[in-house]
Parts: sequence; structure tokens; C-alpha cells
Amino acid sequence: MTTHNPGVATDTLAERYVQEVARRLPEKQRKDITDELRTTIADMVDGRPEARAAEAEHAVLAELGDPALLAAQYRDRPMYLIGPELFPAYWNLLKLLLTIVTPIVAAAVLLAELLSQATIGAAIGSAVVAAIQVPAHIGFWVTVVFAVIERTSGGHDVDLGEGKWTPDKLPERAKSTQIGLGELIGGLAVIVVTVAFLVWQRYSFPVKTEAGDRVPLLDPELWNGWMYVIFAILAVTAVVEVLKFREGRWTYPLALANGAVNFGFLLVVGWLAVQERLVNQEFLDVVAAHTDVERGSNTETWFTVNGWIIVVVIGALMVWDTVEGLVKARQAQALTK
Amino acid sequence: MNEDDSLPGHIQELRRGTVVMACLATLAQPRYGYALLETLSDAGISVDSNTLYPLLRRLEKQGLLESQWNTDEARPRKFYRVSPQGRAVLDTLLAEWRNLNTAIESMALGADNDHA
Repeated sequence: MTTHNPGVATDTLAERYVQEVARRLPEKQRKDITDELRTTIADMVDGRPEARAAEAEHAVLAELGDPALLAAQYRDRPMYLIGPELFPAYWNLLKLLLTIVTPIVAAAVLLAELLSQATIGAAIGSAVVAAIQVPAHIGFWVTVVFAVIERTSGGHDVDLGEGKWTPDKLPERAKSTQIGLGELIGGLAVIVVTVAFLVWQRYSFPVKTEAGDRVPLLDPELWNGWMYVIFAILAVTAVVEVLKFREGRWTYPLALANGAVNFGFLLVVGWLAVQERLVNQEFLDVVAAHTDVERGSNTETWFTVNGWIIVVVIGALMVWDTVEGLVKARQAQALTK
Repeated sequence: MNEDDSLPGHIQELRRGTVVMACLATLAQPRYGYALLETLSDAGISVDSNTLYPLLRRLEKQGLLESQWNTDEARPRKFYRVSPQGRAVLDTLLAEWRNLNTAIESMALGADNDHA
């Protein structure tokens, strides 16, 4: 505690100020600093022009400012959690973790809930809760770790294994909106694989009935007409891919064509799904039998609502793809200006 | 113009670089906190009180100042005085200060000539 100084009442403004500073100081330095501070305040009060001591005292303390800040100056502590040297690393890591981990965990929760036969609403609810909790945890722990590093390493010369920045670390010009051969081949490959899958599942899908017959995933009825519509749409998609490559970069007409094809695909597949003409009913029967699920239960409801899930998922993908095309078209246009 | 906005900040930066030199120079004679503040102020170097006192401790921790408590009067006072190491550092700083002064003066003079 403080030494008793004759003439200094312990409940004056000045003494309360000194106490506020004192309690934030380390034990070793406390007495020395507070003795000096007390005298200094008294000296400063004497030097003030105010007639009344109370006013002078008030002015002096105001000049000295927040006792917390003064104590921090004495302690030479950083008045921030994470300093400018560490901040870029911290921020990049935070962004990386949030964008990667959160969707994975949310999707995993959704899947787990669905597989354990929860209702759609409950499953989505759980996924949303996870999507809120995960970022909170990530944000907290990453911040804590970096704050500790800031305080232990002195915040200087911290090599996080990435080494010093050099110009070699600049991102490649993949940021440009040029469409190269790679993208063309990739796009066509996806279409080829899709067609192959559609054909394969018709004849060789691994799921079998009790009798040993193979059961296709998609309704075989589709092959009477609608499947060829789907093939046609895929063919148009391939044409769009080739046009994109010939153009070399995204343009608004290309983006709109892309969007139109996406929309067409969504329309056809979505309509079929909702009508329960997409997934093979026989397939659902076999799955139901194998997994001992009553065809009238929640999971059955899920398979029926299945149609709308397909619409939502494919819809989201199509919207994303279309928007991406439009954004890139706009970027390309900005570049040519 | 935006003179009022940025000027105080620039002036503060300029002063901040010189207050250590001012302290070391003035403390060739032992002084205590408040008296030092007054001396500096009279000499035209205005320092915030909540900056000066922690600064004196920091300089003492760096070995540039020595301190001694004086309990003769009713108020115990901590007197600071420049140490031999502090004296050496001051000499180096002053040399650097004179170099900077010469350089900036000639640049400013050159700029004036360009304008004239």
C-alpha cells in the first residue's frame, strides 16, 4: 500500500487518481512511480493560476489524462491487440479459415442430420447454427493466438514460416479473364463425363433389386424423350464452351448465352425432379427396402421433397455460374477501356 | 485549405523526434519532473506532462539517465541527471541533428531559389 504522507487526505481527487494509476502498475515499480506522481501533481497544482485548489487539482488531473493510458505509458505496453507487423498475417489466416472451414462444417452437419433421419427443417436449422458458431470460434481462437504472439515476441521479426515477402510472391495473371485452352478442355470434359454417366447409370448402376436386376438411378422412362432433350442442352453447352474459347474472353453476349443454357437446364431437370420423374421410383423402393425405412416416414418425405432439393441445389449452381460469367464479362469490358 | 487538419500532426511528429535530445541536454544539471517540464517549456519545447514522466523512466531504464530521491523537503522528489552513457548518446544525436539541419536548410534554400 502507499506510505502515509502527512497532509495528503486519502479521498482527494488527486489521491484517487494516483490509486487508479497505481493499481495498473506492476508491484515492483508501484511505490516509486506513485511517490513521484503524487509530488508532481502537487507541483503542477502549485503552478496553476486557478485560485481555488480544487479547480487547480481538477485541471491538473485533466491534463494528465486517463490514468489507464498513463499507466500503460509507464508500463510500455502496446495499446492494441495485434500490431501492424502481425496484422496482415492474422487477417489472411482468418479469412482463409473462415471461408474454408465454415462451409465444410455446415455441410457436414447438414449431411449428418439428414442421414440420422431428421426433418429437413431441423437439419437446415442445425446447419445454420453450426454456420454461426464455427466463425465465432475461429475468430476468437485465431485472435487470441495472435494477441499472445504479439505480446511474447515483442511483435517484431516474427517469421510465420512464409518468409519475407518478395516480388516472386505476386499472384499470377490468372486473375485475368482470358479464356484459354485449359478452360475449354475442362468444360468439354465435364460435358463428356456427364453424358457418360447418364448412359452408364442406365445400364450398369450398382444398385440391384432382390432379384438381381440392376436398377438405374434415373427414371428409365426418360429415355423415351426427355433424356434427348437433356443431351441437346448439353450439346448447346459444349457449343457455348467452344465459342468462349474462340472469343478468348468473356463478353456480355457469351454470358447471356451461358445464362440461357443454364436456365434451360434448370427448367428441364427441375421440372422433371418435381414431377418425380427424374429419380427412378424403383431405385427409391430398393433403397427403402435396404435401409429398413418405412416408405411413409420422414426419410420418405425427404426423398419426395428430394425433388425440390434438386431444384434448389441445381438452381443455386446455375445462378452462381451465370453470375460469375456476367461478372467476368464486366471485368473484361473494363479492361479494354 | 486543409492546413488545420494535418499541420498539428506534422508538428507533433517533428517535436517528438527532438524531445529526447532536449531532455538529455537539459539534464546536464539534475532536475526533477515538474521543474524539467517548466524548463523545457520556457525554452520553447512544449511536452505533454503525461508523455514526459514515462519518458524519463524509459531513458533511465535504457541507462541514459541516473536518478536519485531527495527527501529533504516535505515532498520527496526524484531528481534525474544525464549519465555518462547518456552524455555520449546526446553527442551523437546532436551531431546527427546538425547534419540534418544543414541538409534540410540547403534543400529549403534550393527550393526557395527555384521559386524566386
